[in-house]
Amino acid sequence: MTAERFLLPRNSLLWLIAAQGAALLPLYWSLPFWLPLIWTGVLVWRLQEFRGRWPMPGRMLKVALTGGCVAGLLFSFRTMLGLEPMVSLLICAVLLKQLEMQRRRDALLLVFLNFFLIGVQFLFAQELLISLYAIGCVLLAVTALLSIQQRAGSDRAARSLRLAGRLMLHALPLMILMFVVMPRIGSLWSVPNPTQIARTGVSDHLSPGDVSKLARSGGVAFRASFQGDSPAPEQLYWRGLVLSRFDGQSWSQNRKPDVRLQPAVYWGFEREPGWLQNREALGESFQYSVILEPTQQRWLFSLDMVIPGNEAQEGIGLAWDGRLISADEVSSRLQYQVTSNPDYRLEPELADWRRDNELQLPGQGNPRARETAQRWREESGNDEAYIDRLLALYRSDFIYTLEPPLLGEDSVDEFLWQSRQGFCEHFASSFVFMARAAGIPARVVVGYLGGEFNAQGGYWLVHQYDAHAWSEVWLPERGWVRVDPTAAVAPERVRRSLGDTQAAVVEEVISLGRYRHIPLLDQMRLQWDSLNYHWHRAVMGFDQDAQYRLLNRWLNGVSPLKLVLLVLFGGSLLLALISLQLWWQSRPQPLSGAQRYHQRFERLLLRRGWRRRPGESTAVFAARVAGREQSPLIASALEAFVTLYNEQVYADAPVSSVRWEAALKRMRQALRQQSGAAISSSRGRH
Amino acid sequence: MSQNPAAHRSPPSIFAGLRRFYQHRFDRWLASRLQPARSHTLNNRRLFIMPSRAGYGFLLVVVLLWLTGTNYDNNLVLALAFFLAALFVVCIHHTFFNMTGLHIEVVGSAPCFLGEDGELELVVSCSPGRRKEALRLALGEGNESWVDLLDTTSVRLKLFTPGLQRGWYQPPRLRVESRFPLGLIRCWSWVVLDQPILVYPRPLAGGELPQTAAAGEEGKLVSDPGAEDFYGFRGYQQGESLRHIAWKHYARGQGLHVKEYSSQQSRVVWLDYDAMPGTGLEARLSRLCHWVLQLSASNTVFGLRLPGVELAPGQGVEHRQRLLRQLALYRCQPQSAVVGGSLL
Repeated sequence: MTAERFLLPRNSLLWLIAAQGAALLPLYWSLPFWLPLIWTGVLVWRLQEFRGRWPMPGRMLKVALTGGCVAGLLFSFRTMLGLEPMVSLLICAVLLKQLEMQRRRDALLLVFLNFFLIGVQFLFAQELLISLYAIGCVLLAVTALLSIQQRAGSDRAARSLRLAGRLMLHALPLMILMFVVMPRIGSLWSVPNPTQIARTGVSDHLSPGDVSKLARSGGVAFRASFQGDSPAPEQLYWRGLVLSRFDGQSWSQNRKPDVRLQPAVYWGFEREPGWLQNREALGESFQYSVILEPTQQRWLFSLDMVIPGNEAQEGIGLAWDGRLISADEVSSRLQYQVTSNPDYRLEPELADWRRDNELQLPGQGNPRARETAQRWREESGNDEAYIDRLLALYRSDFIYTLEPPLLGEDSVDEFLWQSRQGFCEHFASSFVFMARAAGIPARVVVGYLGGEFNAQGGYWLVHQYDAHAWSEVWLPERGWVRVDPTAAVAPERVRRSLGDTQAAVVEEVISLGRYRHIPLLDQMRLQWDSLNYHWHRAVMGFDQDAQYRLLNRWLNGVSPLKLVLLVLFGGSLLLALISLQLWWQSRPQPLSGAQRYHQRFERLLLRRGWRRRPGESTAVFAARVAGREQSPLIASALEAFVTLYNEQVYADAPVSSVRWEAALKRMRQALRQQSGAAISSSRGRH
Repeated sequence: MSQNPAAHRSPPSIFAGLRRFYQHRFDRWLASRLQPARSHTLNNRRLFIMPSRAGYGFLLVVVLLWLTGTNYDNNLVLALAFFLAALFVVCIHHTFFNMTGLHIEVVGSAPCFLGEDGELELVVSCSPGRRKEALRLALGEGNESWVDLLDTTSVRLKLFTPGLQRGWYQPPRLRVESRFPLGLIRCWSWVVLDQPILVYPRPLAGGELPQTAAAGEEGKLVSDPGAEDFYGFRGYQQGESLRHIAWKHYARGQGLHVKEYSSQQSRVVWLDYDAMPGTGLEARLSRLCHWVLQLSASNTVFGLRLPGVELAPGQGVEHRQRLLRQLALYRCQPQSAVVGGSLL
């Protein structure tokens, strides 16, 4: 008897396993490969135990397993610090706890850990799909919690699921209220971020083949939406990195900004550094917001030229070479606002040491390129004419291709005069080399170009295959001027995304992006992306500022008093609605036909002094009355009614109201006759 | 069956004293509030509701998730934390509605010997259309029964509680509790059932039947019960004393049977209070009780003499019941206040 209170009902074990499997599944991609194997082992053991085939594992085995898991984690991660090792340790604990779960208490603990695991999966991914999946995980966990409380026999699966779903539906409005109103207070202490995720997007090195490799990925780099009209796609040069060092093969960033530039990054709140004076915005600014997918890198993407905003975003700074930078590696989706001005002068004053920097070339190599550059510069007369002549060279008979031939030692020479086939990095790299060789300061800029406009969502979707490399040359008076040699070779690339022209090459086979020539699928793809985007903006991007803006609009000015009142009134209202619904569902039901007739039957007998005892069935009651009344008339009337009642209630056969009325009438007559007889017989005796 | 979890908690003595003090005061308050009745309907005036220990654990998970969400600036983790908090609040309502409107009525009791389990018969019901699940009913400690009202509106059940006092014994408060649906919230109520249990004296074997007691009209009585003729076996019926169960049969897996004895003797025997060994009232009543059982089992015709009371000799079950009832109520101490189990 007592044990029933503590022992785990059998069905809840199955719910628990289902809930656990669902919560662990998304985590497996971020964790050591052997964890799923352990889980499978534990699962098999538990199921065998459930079927009564195997005993629970012994103490020695459990100790050995625990030791093995810890050793395995140390071997896989080399350290126990960091998010992944900690999560793995938690999972190991959950798995091994399975092996000794027999009581309700253990099961409760497991469900609680399960809720925590569902939360942890959001640290690794935040897409809409994951969130929808997590709702399923929570449903399973709540059902498991419910089944622990249910008695064996009342735990029918569909009913448990329905009940859990109802609980969740009731909790949903309250959650939304808390989500909107509860203050966000920001990080309390620093926490380890996920590290095992591969770095994606453009890297800080550019060698031939890098961008073309990236161009084969259909993944999303970021999404951007403009306030007001967006610029033309050929204007969307998303600046990511500026590469000024060339070692003969690849381009890279300057190792460390020169001390004369310090501080090289302006975070928005400190005193303005000197280089900020050396730039000028001329045209009309526009604003846009970017939601960057996690890259595990620090650089952000923006359009030229970024104006440091009034409301600086914490953790995002402007670097001296005109690009945006994040204080931390971007390990989860990041949303940021930018103001840019398309008409600008960047670094119009170029100091001599800066000029030397931007003219750097390796001591030797590519002799033909150097010699040609110097000759052409002399023949051209000025820098602009020389650049035009270079671009004319590219326009002549170069081929823009994703699969260029490999280049040897003197890559620029080979490219310009032999292979003449290349991707954007070949054009940008050779162009900057030629410019520098002619004495014009130049550098390579890496980022993305263009994007796909999602008309349904009103935003730009920038894919990895939009990765691009172009160049900047420094001209007196004008400062840094963007020159894209790829535009000279393949003007269509600048106007249209690679995904439009070569979807079959850049997209994976099982992605909707590959089938964008089918209108329906294409629309579905854009619709889904739009949904994802709005999900992110509304939910993930709901930060302190957004919260303040929303509450300000709702409450017409935020004050602590108003917030407290909102929580009190809103919360009470929601809870009152829930109570109302629960009360409505449990209100006494109107009596069914049989119950109504039964009530009349009881009332008839009550008039004669017979009361049905609590818990007494109709048949037993009738037998008791018949036994004491000693009247065949009453006995047969009672029997007739009981037969009718059983027919309706237990055999579920519908009984017409005529028959009910007839039975009751017979009952009434029998009782009247009996009492009449009793009176006359008592008179007779007197 | 399993060890009582409460036994592991032994707070320091000061706290124990304080606890006793408050428990006593609470006890009195509760007793003044709960009026004994044969039927009770639970409503918000008599339902208590608090988080269970699991509920506090659940809140800890909520706090941990909130900390994680805040530190990682992750709105989805925060949303999950808020969702679980909302679930907790919603659970309060669901647990309450699972208990309110429950109707408990006592329909009878079965007598017992002092120290053995007496029985209360209850009907637990709710109005049609309502559903009640995982209700736990307990009389005192450890004596519990689980009830579901899902497809039916009423359930009849028996609860057992040891008879602690001879005479009309008022059973301890009935505790009705439920943690449904999620076990996070505990909702309970105390019900005082106005249905005393008749408790007979504890039968106590006392050697041979005193000779003076055996002053029969037709010679002497062979009084050794061991010598009585074994008559046969009869199926055990619930509520019967366990004393005559044929345990060997039970051990062989043949079910519960009761040994029946019969006696060919038909002499009239008088059981006399004054002739019983022992000094106190209770001790003598215990001996008398033993002999009433023995003699009625051996079909002897016997009567009972108590100071001031005399019951004529007779035979059979009804005679036995009359005698036992007389023994139970003889110079019985007045009813004491309701005896409570643990309170919280």
